[in-house]
Amino acid sequence: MTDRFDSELERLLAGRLDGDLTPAESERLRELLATDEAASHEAESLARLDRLVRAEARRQPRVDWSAFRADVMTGVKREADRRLVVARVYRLVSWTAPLAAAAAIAVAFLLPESAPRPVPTPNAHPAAGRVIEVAYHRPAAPSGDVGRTVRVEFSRSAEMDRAALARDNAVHNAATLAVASSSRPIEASQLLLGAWPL
Amino acid sequence: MSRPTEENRDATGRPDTNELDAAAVRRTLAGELAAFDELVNRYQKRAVSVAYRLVGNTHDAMEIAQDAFLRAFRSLRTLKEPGRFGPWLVRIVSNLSLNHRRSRRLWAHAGGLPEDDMLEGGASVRTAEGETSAAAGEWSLDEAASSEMATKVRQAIDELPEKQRLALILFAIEGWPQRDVAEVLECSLETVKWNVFQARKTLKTKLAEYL
Repeated sequence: MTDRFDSELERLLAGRLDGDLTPAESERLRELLATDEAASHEAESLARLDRLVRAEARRQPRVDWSAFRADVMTGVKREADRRLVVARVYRLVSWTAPLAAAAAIAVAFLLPESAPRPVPTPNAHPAAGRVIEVAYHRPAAPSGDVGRTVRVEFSRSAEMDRAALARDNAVHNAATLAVASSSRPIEASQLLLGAWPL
Repeated sequence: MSRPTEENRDATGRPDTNELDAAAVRRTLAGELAAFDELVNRYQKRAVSVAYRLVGNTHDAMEIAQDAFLRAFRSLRTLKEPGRFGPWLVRIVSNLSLNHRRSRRLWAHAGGLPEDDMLEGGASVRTAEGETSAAAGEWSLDEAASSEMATKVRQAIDELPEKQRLALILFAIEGWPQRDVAEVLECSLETVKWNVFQARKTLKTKLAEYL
């Protein structure tokens, strides 16, 4: 970076002002200044300027340093307190969060065992829970039993009792068949489904 | 015109300042606020002084220095070399000061404060601290000439490019070692020397009538 200076003289003058010339460099500068009047004039101007600039150091701000320091430390303490609160909250969260998660998992596993099961109404059989008496007529029954009334109670939840639902459907189909093959009309309200042998 | 060499100049304090700073930084990080108070005590004058040279008035300089200490406290963990707290703090101060100058200059150009008023002791505001009040009419002709010259010097320094101004202020006025100035400017030692010399050359031209 030394070559950023325009000339050897510049570099040596800068070094002299900065106070970091080696004895050899000082000697070289003396030689240059002794033989070059313009360089000598330049060196004097720079030296005067340097004194002017350094005189600026005398201009100092008037400050009550004790008050300034106290103000700074007030802000620092406020910041430290804020950090302390944040750290406490963080610590609290870091301790309680796993516990809360564990509790939530435990509840999720244990609660269904003790809680009553909800009734899944959407999938329930249309006649779930109803008791209907059905009269049917079976002219072709081999036993000569051509008609009787049966009492059928549908299960309350078809979803819970798929076997019952299947049975009900089978009975429904059978009764429908019976009605269809009947020689006389059967009241719809009386129609139903019982467990009877076909 | 002899100046202390780089080796024996110690503007950052005693030879063991780095160790003291490192210990104070570590104690602060361990939660001991009194340790940070030591750092404030050690560097408050330097921080305010640098801000003062860069922004030109005491009030803003104090605010900037206070802000810099707070920022330093908040980011203390990011300081890689705890022993270099001083240059690190001054880098924060100089960045804040330069930002402050830029925003103030924008404001001035937008029709706010005249730029001359930005400097205490400038052409429009003669309230330089440590100097006799001009309004009191107590200056001798020599003092008046000296004051006028000082004002011109200040204005000329204020008009230097940022890096040259900062290098000149820290090295030639504040008396910082070139190594610390290089750390603040984030450049090499040679670049610091070159910037200081360029600043001097520019000032020599601007202040030719006084040389």
